[in-house]
Amino acid sequence: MTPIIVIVAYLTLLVFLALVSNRYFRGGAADYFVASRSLGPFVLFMAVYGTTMTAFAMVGSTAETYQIGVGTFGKLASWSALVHSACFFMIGVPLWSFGKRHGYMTQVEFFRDRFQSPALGYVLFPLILGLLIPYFLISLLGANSVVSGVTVNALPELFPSTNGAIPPALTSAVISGVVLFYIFIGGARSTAWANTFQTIVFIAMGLLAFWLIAQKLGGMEAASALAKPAKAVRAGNMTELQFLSYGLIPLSAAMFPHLFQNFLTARSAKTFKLLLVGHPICMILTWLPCVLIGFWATGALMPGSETTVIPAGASANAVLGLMVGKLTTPLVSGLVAAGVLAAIMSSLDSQFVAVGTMFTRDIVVHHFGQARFSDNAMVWLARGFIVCIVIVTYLLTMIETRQIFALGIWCFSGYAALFPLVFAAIYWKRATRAGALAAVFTTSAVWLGLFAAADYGADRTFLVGGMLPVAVMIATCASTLVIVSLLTKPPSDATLARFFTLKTA
Amino acid sequence: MSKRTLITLFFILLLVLHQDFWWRDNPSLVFGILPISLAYHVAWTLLVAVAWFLVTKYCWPDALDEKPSPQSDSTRKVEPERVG
Repeated sequence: MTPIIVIVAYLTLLVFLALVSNRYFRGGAADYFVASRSLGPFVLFMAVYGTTMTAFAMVGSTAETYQIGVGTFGKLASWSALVHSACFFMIGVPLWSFGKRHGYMTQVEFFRDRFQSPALGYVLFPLILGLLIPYFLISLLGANSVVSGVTVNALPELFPSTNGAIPPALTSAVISGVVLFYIFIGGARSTAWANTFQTIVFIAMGLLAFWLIAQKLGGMEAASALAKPAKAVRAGNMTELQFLSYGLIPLSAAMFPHLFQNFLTARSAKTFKLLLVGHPICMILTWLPCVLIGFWATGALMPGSETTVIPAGASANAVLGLMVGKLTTPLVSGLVAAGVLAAIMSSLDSQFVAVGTMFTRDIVVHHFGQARFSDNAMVWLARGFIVCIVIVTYLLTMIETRQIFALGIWCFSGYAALFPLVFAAIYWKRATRAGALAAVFTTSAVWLGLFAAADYGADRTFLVGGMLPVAVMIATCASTLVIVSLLTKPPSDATLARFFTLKTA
Repeated sequence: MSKRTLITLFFILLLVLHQDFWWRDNPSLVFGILPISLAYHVAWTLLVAVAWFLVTKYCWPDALDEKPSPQSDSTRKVEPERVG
């Protein structure tokens, strides 16, 4: 029962925080969608960091290390530390500048303007939204798994069919409801505040779990001594080419619509400085404890016995829950579950705000004209669309039975595949409308083909030439964009003058 | 050599050093706790933070925070309307 009380208390705190942040809501679409471009360095840093970290940062990192060893840190965390910050600097800062100068609130508005193509917006909108739906699913299924795990036998009379655990349908409904509540009342500002709080919570809870588990196992040295040496190395767990190609996955940060919108909330360009430096440090604080817990789990024994903490055949995704549940107290289990929920909700909220904004600005306002809608109407349109998407996702969680993270890599690969498009839009004057459209179509076709070849995500060992499929997707996007752009008419000087410094004769 | 070039070279060096194949099958533990490849990547990530700090110090596009010139579009000023 204790974990349920802790989780309920945590969710109540979030609702309270939303009510407080609502006092600072200035009203209007600009505040709802991009917090009036007013956030300072600390809130921007925490909001963006919280958005980039999902349940995978805690549950997935532990599971992956348990299965394939500590190379998990290098292939995911350290690559992301470098590449994410590179995306913030090379993509985020210029996009913030364009957004401020030209009034953009979504990435589709930027692409339409840069390539002078309304059609590109209509192509990109469903693509970006389609890739976000699996992401929503991952978040809700992750939340269901965590809450079910820590509440087993808590309420046997109320929920006999789930061994007393909170049923997944109820967890999804409550999590969605809380996130909807705080984004409804304050939009991007509430989301940023909530993410700041949630980021602190999930980093702190990861460290707490790490410390207590180490103590229970007789200290860090004793815990590491028991772990399987085969999981301390990359040999036998992944190839060098695989390890290298994982560096392409974090490029997805350049194309996530929710990160684009987070960038636009910055007060100034220098607001990004803390984000660039702090991101790698927080990656260590979040991932190292969970990777070590996963490593220790490979050989951990219950104190004073020869019984392993992780029973043979246990699901890798249950490793963090089992280590915390068996080696700490119910209170800590509840706190860690709250930490995982914090990581999940801090991504979900920004994504909900982003899809609402995209629907309103990129489809409705673009089609019918801004003059037909008041600020109030635009905010309500966004809210309505968010509710529709949440309902669709909620219904999908009822039928989706695939392993939680199987879809994640495909979703991230899809965004990373479009990295050449945003990079060229910012840095290559010769990139043309036809090149952009051709790149989007061919990359989508290649993504679909590879996804089908990998048994729609079920084959988790699927590689192309020893590398992750994302390498082929990025190469396709880049080559199509370059070839078609060079074969077609360059953008006009008037268009280029909006985005580049042109040489005068 | 300019600071910008030195920082770029530092990043290239970091990219190369990420592929630590030399620890690939070495299971030894640093301080008896961290597998050596893991300890290496933690140190590498700290160097990444240092590299980005140098970027913020010496390669920052300060011009972006200057007021836009009269030729460029002004930021769309939205008169707030209370949303309920």
